[in-house]
Amino acid sequence: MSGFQTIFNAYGGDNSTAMGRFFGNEGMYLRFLDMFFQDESFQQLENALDAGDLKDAFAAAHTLKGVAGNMGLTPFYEAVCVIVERLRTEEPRKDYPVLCKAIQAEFYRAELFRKQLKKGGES
Amino acid sequence: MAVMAKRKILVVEDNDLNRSLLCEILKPEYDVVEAENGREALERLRQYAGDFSLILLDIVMPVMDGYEFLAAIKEDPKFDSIPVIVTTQNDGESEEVAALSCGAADFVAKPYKPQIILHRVASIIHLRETAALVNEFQFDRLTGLSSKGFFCRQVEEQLRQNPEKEYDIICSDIVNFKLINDVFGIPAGDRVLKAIAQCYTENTRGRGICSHFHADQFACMIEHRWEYEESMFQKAGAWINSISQTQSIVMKWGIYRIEDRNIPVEQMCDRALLAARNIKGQYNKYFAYYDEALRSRLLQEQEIVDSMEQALQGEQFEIYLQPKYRIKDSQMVGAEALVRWNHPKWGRQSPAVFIPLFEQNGFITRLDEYVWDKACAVLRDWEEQGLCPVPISVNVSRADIYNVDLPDILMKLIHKYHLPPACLHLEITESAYTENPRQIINTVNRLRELGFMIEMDDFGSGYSSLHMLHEMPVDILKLDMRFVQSEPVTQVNQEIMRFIVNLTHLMKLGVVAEGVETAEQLERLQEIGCECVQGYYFAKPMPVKEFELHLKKSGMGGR
Repeated sequence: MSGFQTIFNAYGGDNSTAMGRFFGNEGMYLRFLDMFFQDESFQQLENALDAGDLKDAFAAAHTLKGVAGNMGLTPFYEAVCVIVERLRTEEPRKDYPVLCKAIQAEFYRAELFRKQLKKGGES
Repeated sequence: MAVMAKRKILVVEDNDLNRSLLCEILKPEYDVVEAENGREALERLRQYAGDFSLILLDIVMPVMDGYEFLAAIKEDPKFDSIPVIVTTQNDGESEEVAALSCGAADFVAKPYKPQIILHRVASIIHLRETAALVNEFQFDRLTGLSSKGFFCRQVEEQLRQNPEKEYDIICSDIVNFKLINDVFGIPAGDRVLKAIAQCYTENTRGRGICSHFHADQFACMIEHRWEYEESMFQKAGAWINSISQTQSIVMKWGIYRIEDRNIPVEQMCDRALLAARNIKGQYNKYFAYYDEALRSRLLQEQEIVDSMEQALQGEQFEIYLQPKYRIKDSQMVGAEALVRWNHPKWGRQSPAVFIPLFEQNGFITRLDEYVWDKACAVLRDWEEQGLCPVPISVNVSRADIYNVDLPDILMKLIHKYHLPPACLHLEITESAYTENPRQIINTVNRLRELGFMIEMDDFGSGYSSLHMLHEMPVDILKLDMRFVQSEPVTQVNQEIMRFIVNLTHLMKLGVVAEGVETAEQLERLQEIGCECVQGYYFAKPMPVKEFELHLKKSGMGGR
């Protein structure tokens, strides 16, 4: 098993499907992973929730879900799915901040994952 | 070696990452153009003059979302044939169903599966290109006539090249063509279509353009040389019947005289077909012109249909009552409920205008129920006012009788207003009985068992056999007003009426003569022993309040 694959699996991501999406090209995956961290959807989700704009929040969460899915970031993806389903009905709820925190936590884990991948790639 | 140009695909997706990834997936096989939202995508479409083999479209986007974009391109004939594959989140069907119903050809889900995307893209492009090829076929395989699309182009061309000449478009369809296919089989149907094609070609040879649109619709354009006559089309029909070895083909022809050449050819044909359709059911009428009168009538009909729902909600329909009298003591014995439409703009509308339309589109069942409810409310009100009520007859349309819930609906009303069923008389037209006797008889029997009185309306206008009459569940016959009003009065006519009245006595049925307008008519009815009458000679249909005055005057008010 390559270092890349090991790190991917340890993180809990769907390595084989995700890499199939990038034609098995690790460099290309990393390039897209960098784009993922430039993506503003998460920021938009937080902002919209703060402003109480559930429609925008849903749109942002929806996008975030698509992006995370494409990157094979399974734990992050699953955290986003929860809030997408709640926001779909645009029903005001008290648990949005908690759900957002959970995504935030997964965001940091994904960042760690990226660092490890980059380090692993160098070694 | 020349390199084949790659097909172009437009990728519409607001998210950078997703869009770039799609591009990576498609790049090896296609030229990819990107757009960040619907509005930008429309700009790209215009920039490339619609030269795309396919569009991959995200649904949730800012500025202009996928649905709006779909709607916009479906409206533009330059772009509406470009197939669209929608990219959706893999979470439930609703988004996908919505996109497909907006005209998307297919969808692919996120996260992307490159192999699936590539296969779907390839097969949709292939499908569209094949379909486009088929559309280009200029001739109908069965008849050898031009296809509709080709016909329209030929007509446009001919009009352009001959600005000084006058032309007519003639279209036709067959009454009940589906039935012909069903009863005689598809080969027989095809034989008919070929005969019609032959008829068109032979009658326009060298002077016209002919087309088989689809199914039983044909069209041609010929130079305007003569006025048309029924006999021409009658002959054509007879010829088609003999060539195709059938007797049952009835064709209706519509003619549109081309005056305004700016109207699209397809619309000219639609108008000719509207004229043809408009004479369906008119025996001995084979052709009709599309003219302003027809156009305004169709528009008026459309207005009626558009406003009927609101009229019902807004209580614009009002019931009028027309009294029925017993001849021997001039006593009022009942009333018939008739409906008037008090339209806020058009004023009071006669039922002759709107009832036939409602019978066609099925709205009649709703209106009937409304009238039943109002009639019951009136009966209840009379009870409460202490008036001695007379029964009210209401109309039960053909469509109502086919509703299995009819007895329930009526019983609910009876309970709602605490009325005995016998105070509601149900008028069913004679011709309804002859259509599907078994079913009607069963339903009507059930209504009688429940205690409703059944009146057979328009008796003598249909074709009931005397044997049938014996089996029919009926309490009262209403003599068709044409009997009463027939002029000149002949001995035979009078004897037929006498016979019917005697028959009702024999069968212990009541009899009411409708449409009594003169003293002579009343006298004749009296002479043959008819008991009850209704008609303008006594009273017109009137608003409920006015009727109540009659009710009081008639000596039956107060107890």
